[in-house]
Amino acid sequence: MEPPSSKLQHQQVEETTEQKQTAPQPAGREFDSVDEMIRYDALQNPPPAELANRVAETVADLPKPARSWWQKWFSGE
Amino acid sequence: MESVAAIAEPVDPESASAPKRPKWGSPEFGAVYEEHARGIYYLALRFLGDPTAAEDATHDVFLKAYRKLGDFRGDSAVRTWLYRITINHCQNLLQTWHRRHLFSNADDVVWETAVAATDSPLRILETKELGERIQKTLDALPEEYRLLLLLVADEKMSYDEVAELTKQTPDAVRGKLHRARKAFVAHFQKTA
Repeated sequence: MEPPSSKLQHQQVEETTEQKQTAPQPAGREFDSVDEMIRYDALQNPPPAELANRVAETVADLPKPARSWWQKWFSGE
Repeated sequence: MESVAAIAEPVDPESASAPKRPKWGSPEFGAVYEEHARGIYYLALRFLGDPTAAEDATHDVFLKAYRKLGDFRGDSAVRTWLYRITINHCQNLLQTWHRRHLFSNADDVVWETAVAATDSPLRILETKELGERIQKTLDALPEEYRLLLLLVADEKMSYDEVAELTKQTPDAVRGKLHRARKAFVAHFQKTA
């Protein structure tokens, strides 16, 4: 989709002595497309684990909403 | 050497420090959260440029969705419906921030909390720098380009669904995406 010259390179700017000794790694990461880079970034940024509890606790205080078609479908009615 | 080995021990997810599992009053809604929270949070994160604001926005989006469950008619996929709520919510937030002139520079606040505590220093460094550059690049693009790039990067979204969400034809989405990707590459290279 994109020409080879548009490959996106993300260079690692720093490397500690310990990392050099124990875990040799490539100097940077190369992405074939913008989409691939954004997907990689999305994987590195999941929602905080405690957010699920926060949402669940808030929802627990709310009145139950009317049942939608898909809830009925889920329950097999 | 012992201390190094101890430091390298993987974190036990079942340990006391691991977050407790949420107790969903509605298992169906819990399943919806588990399926879609990652996509909603990431869209809010890169749209707003602030992890704390993205966390609040994700919370609010799922609350709105819960309240509107009865209105959801199934004309679109649940993911598309949730994205629509997210986009409207984030656009409203940005408008409010702009109006109040409280739109702070994200550089100082975003990156300290964006990375999970269990990441290695190398991982943090890499994630931090890449995330900073992506955020700066997205911030430099027109909002429409930013939105299209974020939506299409979600592999579960079809061009038709993106077109429906952004109120244009799939062909228009393809044309704008082509320009958006070129603009992204040009801006990204400037952030090096």
